[in-house]
Amino acid sequence: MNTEPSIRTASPGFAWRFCLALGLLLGSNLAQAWGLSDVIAGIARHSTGEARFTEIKYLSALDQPLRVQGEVQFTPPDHLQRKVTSPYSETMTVAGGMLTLQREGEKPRELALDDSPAMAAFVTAFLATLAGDQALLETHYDLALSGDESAWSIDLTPRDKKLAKRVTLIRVAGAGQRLHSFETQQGNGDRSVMLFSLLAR
Amino acid sequence: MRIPLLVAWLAVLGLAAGWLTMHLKPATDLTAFLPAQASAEHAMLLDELRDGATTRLILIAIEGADSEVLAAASKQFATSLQSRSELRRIDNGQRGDDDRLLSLALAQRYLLTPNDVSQRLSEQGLHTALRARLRDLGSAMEMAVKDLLPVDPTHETLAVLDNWRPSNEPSRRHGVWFDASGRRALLVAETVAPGFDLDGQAAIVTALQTTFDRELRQSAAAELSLLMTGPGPFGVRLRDTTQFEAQLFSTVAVAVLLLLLWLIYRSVPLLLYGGLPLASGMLAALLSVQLLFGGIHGITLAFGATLLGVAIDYPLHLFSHRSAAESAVQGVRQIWPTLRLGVLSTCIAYLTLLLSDFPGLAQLGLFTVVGLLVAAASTRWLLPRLLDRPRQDVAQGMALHWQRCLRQARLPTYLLGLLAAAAMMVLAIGYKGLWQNDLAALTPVSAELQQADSELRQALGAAELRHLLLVEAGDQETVLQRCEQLATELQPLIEQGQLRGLDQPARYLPSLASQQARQSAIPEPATLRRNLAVASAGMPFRDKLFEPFLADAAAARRATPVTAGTYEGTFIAGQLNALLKPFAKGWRALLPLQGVEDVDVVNTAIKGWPGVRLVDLKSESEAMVARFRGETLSRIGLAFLAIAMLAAWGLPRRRWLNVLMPVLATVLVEAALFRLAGIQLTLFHLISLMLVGGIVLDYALFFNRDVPDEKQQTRTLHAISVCCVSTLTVFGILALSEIPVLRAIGVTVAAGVLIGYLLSALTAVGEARLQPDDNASTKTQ
Repeated sequence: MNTEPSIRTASPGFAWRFCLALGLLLGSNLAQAWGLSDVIAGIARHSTGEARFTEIKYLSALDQPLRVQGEVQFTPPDHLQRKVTSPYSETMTVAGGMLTLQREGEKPRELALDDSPAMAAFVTAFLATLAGDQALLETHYDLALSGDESAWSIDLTPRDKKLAKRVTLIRVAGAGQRLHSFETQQGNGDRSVMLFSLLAR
Repeated sequence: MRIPLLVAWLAVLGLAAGWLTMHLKPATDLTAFLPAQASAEHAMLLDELRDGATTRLILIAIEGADSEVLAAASKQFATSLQSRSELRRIDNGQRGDDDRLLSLALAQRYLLTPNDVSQRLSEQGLHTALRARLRDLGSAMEMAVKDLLPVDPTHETLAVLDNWRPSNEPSRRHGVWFDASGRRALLVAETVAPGFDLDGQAAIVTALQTTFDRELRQSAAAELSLLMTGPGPFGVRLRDTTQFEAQLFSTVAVAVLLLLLWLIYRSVPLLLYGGLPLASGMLAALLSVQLLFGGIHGITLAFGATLLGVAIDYPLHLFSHRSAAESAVQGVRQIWPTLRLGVLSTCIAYLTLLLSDFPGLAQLGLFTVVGLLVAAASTRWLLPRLLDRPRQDVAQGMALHWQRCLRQARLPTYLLGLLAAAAMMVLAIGYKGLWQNDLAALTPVSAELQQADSELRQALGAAELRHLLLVEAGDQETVLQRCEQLATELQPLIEQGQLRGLDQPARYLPSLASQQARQSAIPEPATLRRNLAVASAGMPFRDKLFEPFLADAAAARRATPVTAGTYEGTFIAGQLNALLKPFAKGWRALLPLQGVEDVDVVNTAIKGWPGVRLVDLKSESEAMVARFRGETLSRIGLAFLAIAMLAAWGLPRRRWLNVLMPVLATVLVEAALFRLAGIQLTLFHLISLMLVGGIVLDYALFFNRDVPDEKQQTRTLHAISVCCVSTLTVFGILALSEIPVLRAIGVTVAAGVLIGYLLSALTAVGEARLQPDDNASTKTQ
C-alpha cells in the first residue's frame, strides 16, 4: 500500500521542482503540447478499474484526524464504488446522481447528490476528473494547472459564490498519467485528502 | 295561421333554450346513484369517491430524454409549479426544498419521531448513533450531515422527515423520482379542486400542459413529452372525447336521417317539422326537472335524452298516415288513439321511476314523462296544423310489396312465448355474469391510458384506493390513539405480505398521549449528559460539541405538544385533513390500506376494536350501482304489469297478447344475446333496453290495430317501417363510435329495434275492414 504523502503544497522541494520544470518546459517544443487537457485526458486513461485509497480528514468536530482505507472502483462515466475496509467496513456507491451508503446490519441509506450542494460539488469534481470530463469540470470550477508532467496539480475553485464559501478549494495532484491525491478544503477549515495507489488495472 | 304558429312555436322553443343555457348546470357527482336517505357509510363513501384525496391526485411522467435531462426537467417543472394556487402540492421526490418542513421536523423531532426515544437517548442508543456519525464523517456524506451533528446526533430529524414521505415511494435518480427503467421522471400533483369538478380539473390540466410547453418543451434540447393520468385528467379527457364523438356522430346521424326522410317524403319543410315535437319534449323535460328539482344530474340528461328517442317516431306516424283525401288535422285523429295508448303506457312505465327514492331515477322519470307527453301532444295538436295535404299517399310501391312479403311469412304468436321462455332460460342460467357493476365501466378510459395509469401508479406506489379502515370515536385524541394501536396491530400483516402498507393520521399527528410519553422518555439533562459521556468515550468528538443537542433535548421535555395547527401552510395540513375529519358523532380517521390480499385477514385483525371497520370502496360502489339497477328493474317490472293490465283492459282480448309479447320477447331475447356474446350489461344497456321496449310497444300497437281499409293498413306499415329505419340509422351510426357508452346505447337500440320490428310485424293480427265498433282500441282514455 502506498501511503506516501506525495502532495504538500507548501513543500519547498515542490516549488523548486516546479520552477525547474517550468524552465525546462518553456525551452522545449513539448511545452506547447503539454497542458490541462493532457493531464485530464491522462487521468481518464488510467482511472478505470480498482485502486486502493487512504483518506485522511481533518475535521473541526473531531479532536484528531480520521483515517480510513479501502478500495475505489470507477466505471466511466459516472459510476463509483468506494469500499472502506479499515477501520470498519462500508460500501458507498455513486450512480445516476444518487449516493448509497451500505453498512453491515443496517438498511442502505440513500442521498441524492442534489440534497447537499457541497457534497455534490465534491463528488462531481471527483467523478469528472476520473472520467476526464474537462468540459463538465469547467462548467462548475475555475481550473488552474501548475507543475510539470512529472508532478502536476490542478486547483479547482467553485464558480458558484455560495458554494465557494463552503468548498473553497479542490486540488487534484499526480504525476504523468497517474492520479496521486484528491484534496478538499472547506470554508470552516475542514480538510480532507485522499491518496491513491495504483489507480490502474 | 300556419306561419304565425310556426313562428310562435319556434319562439317558445328559443326562449326555453335560452333560459336553460343560462340556468342549467348538470351535476356530475354520484349522488344520483344514492337513495335520498342514504346511510352514513354511503355518504362517507360518496364523499371519498367524490373528493377524497386520491381523486385529487394527478400522476405525471416526463419522458423523451436520458435520465439526467429528465431529472433537470422534473426539477424545473416542479419549481415553476410550486407557487400555483390550484395545487395543494407538487412532489417529485426532491428533498430539502421545503425549509418550513425541515425546520418543523428539527424543532419537533423528539415529539414526532417514530423511534423509541428512551432507547435512542440511552447510553447504548447514543453509542450506536455516535459510532454511525463518526463513519458518516469518514464518508462522502460528511458534508451533507455535518451541520446536523452537534444538534441531532441520533438523526431524529431525518427519521421524522422520512416518516412523512410516502411509505413506498419510487426510487430516485439525480435526486428525483423515476420509474424502474429510468425513462420516466415521475411527479405527483395534488389539486385543490376535487376530481369530479371537471371544470376545475380541466383548468389545472391545461395549466400544467401550458407550463410544460412554455418552460420545458422549447428550452430542452430533447423532445420531452408530458403524460398525465389520474381521475381528473381522465374525467376531462373522457368528457372532451365523449362530447366530441357524441356531437360528431349525432351530426352525421341526423344528416343521414334527414336525407333518408327526404327520400321518403320528398319535402323539406317536413324535415324541419319532424324535429319540432322532439325538441319541444326535450326542452319541456329539462325545464320541468330544473324547476322541480332545482338542478339536474348528468345521468338524467344522458339517460333521459336516450329515452326520449322514441319521440322521433311520433311525427313519422303522422307523416306516413297522411292521405290526399283528408287534411292532417283530420288524419291525426285516425292514429291518435293508438299513439296515445303507446305514449300513456310508456309514461306509466316512467312514472314508476318518478316515485323512486333515488334522485337520479326520480328525475329521469319526470324528464321522460314530461318529454313524451309534450312531444306527443305537440304531434297531436300543433304539428298537423303546419302540414299540407299531400298530392298522393306516400305509402305505395315498396310498402305494398313489403306488406305482401310480411303476410306470407306470418308466425304464430306462441312462438314469441317460446322465444321469451328460451331467453329467460339463458338469462337465468347465466345471471351471474349478466351485469357490469363497476362504476368505472360507466365512464371508461382508453386501454392505452389505463395502461399508462397503472404503470404510473405502480411506479409511484400510489395504488388505487380500494380498502379503507374507518376509525371513529367521540374525540380526536381517542381516534389518534386507536390509529397508533391499529398501525402496530397491523404491522405483522405487512411483514407477512398480507398488506402492502397503510397510511394513518398519527403518522403526521401523534396522539397527545404518545407525544407526552416521548417527552417523559427524554432523560433528565444530567442523565442525558452522563449517557452522552459514556457513549462517546474513546471517540474523537471535540469537547462540548454536543451542547446544542443537550439543550434541545432538555427544552423538548417541556415543549408544547404538536397539534394539527402546527402544520398550517404545509402540504401535511392537506394530508391530515384527508385522513382525519370531524363528523356528526365526533372524529373519524380514514386509513387507506394498500394491497390487501385477503379481506378476511384484515377483518379478523380488527375484530373487537370499537369504532373500527373495513370499507371496500369498490364493492360498496358496485353494490350502490346494483341497488340502483335493482330499483330500476323492479320499477320496470311493476310498470310492465301495469301496462299489461292496461292493455288487457283497453284492447280486444286476442290483441293484448299480440301487443305485449313482442315487447317482452324483444327485450329478453336481446338481453340473452348480450349474455351469450359475453357482453356485460351496464346501466346504459339497461336504459337502452327500456327505450327499445317503449319503441317496440308502439310498433306492436300500430301493427295490431284494426283499420278502416287496406290503404290505411299500408300507411301504418309504411309509418312503422320508416320509424324503424330512422331509429336503425341514428343508433346504428352511434354504434360505430369508439366510446363504449355511445356504442352500448347504439348497439342495444339498433339491434333491439330491428328484432322488435320483425317480431311484431310477423305476428301482427291487425285487420283492415270497416268496423262500426272500431273504438275498441280507444277505450283507454
